[in-house]
Amino acid sequence: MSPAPDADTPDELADQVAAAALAVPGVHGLHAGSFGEVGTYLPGRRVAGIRLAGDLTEVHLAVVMGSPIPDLAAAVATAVSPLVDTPVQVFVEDVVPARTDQE
Amino acid sequence: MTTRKTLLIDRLATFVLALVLLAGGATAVWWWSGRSVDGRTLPTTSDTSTVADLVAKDWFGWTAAAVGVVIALVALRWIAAHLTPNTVSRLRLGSSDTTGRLEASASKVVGAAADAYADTLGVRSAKGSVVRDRGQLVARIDATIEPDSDLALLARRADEVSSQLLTVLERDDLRCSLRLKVAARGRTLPRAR
Amino acid sequence: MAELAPAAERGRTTIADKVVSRVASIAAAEMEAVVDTRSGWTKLVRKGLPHADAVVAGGTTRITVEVAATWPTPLSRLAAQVRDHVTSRVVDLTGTQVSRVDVTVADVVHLETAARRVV
Repeated sequence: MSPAPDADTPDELADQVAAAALAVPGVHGLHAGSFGEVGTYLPGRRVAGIRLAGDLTEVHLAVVMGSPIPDLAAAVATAVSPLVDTPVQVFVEDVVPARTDQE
Repeated sequence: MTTRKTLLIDRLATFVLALVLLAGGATAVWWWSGRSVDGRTLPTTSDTSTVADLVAKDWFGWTAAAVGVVIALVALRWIAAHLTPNTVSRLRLGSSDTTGRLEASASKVVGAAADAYADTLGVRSAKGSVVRDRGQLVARIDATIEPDSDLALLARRADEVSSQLLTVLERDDLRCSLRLKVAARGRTLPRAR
Repeated sequence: MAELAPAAERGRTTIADKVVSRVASIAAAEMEAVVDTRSGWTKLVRKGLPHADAVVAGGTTRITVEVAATWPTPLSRLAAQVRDHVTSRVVDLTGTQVSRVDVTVADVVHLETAARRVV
């Protein structure tokens, strides 16, 4: 991964979408899909789990077990929506057990 | 595994075969010795003309074929009785209803019971299975014990484990059977060399 | 994939079938008398349990769960608890309707023996 020279400036849209999604509590991480096929290619690297099509923004997630998944997905969609002009579709691809020491 | 009925038939058949062999052997000895028993002796030549007459009859072919088919069917059924395993693989649990079927792996449950029994001092190993014996569910545990083990303790533990098994499965129709086999020799203990 | 009603005014949510299976199997592992044989020492001697499969069709889900129980837990009660817990967790967390949960106690573990086998 090559560090972008202007890392602090609002960089690529895919990174912003990823950051917004990851900031939602209960999101475990971005998920590249069953076959690792989902991602956005940027110069020299790839943002897995985000796909920016012209008319749709896809966010593929792994979530933490514990909160209702539709609500969590809605929260992610709400967080991502202001960043993009297109509809947002959230794909929940996987669940991970809640760590007992966090409960 | 075979059912008791099959075992009974096997024993009966063995007994009949043994009688036939005994009678055949005795007759052969009698014929060879040429002695008279009860004032009668066996003829030195055999007369098969009655057999030839019988075989020549019209109905003989059909009758022989029919009897042959019947014997073949009985034989197949007999073999099948020995081949069909009557081990039970899955046990339905009492709380099954329309919202879901609840089952337990029979061999694993009784296997755990056997493990629990094998934990007793003096038991070298134990394994378990569930069989259906004449419509009766039987949990069978076979254990190998040390020659110098405390039999009173083993009997008490057997009661404990079988009552635990009944609690675990909650089935009234299950019977427990525990067979102990005494190991031939004491376990060779590891020694420092 | 289970399509849900629009979650936000501008988006939709899709939950993979695998997620329903995963929620079911994690929920089964939350039961006290259920042994988790997917990690740790038990992994060495047993196959990975609890394991769940979900078939989502026509808005309802049919789930089959296999669990390993500790000896001597009454299995009938345990299986019923697993069924109820898995049903409520899947309904609460994924929002899908659950039509049926089949539970099989695929293994029973006598913990002392299992521990000794590894040592």
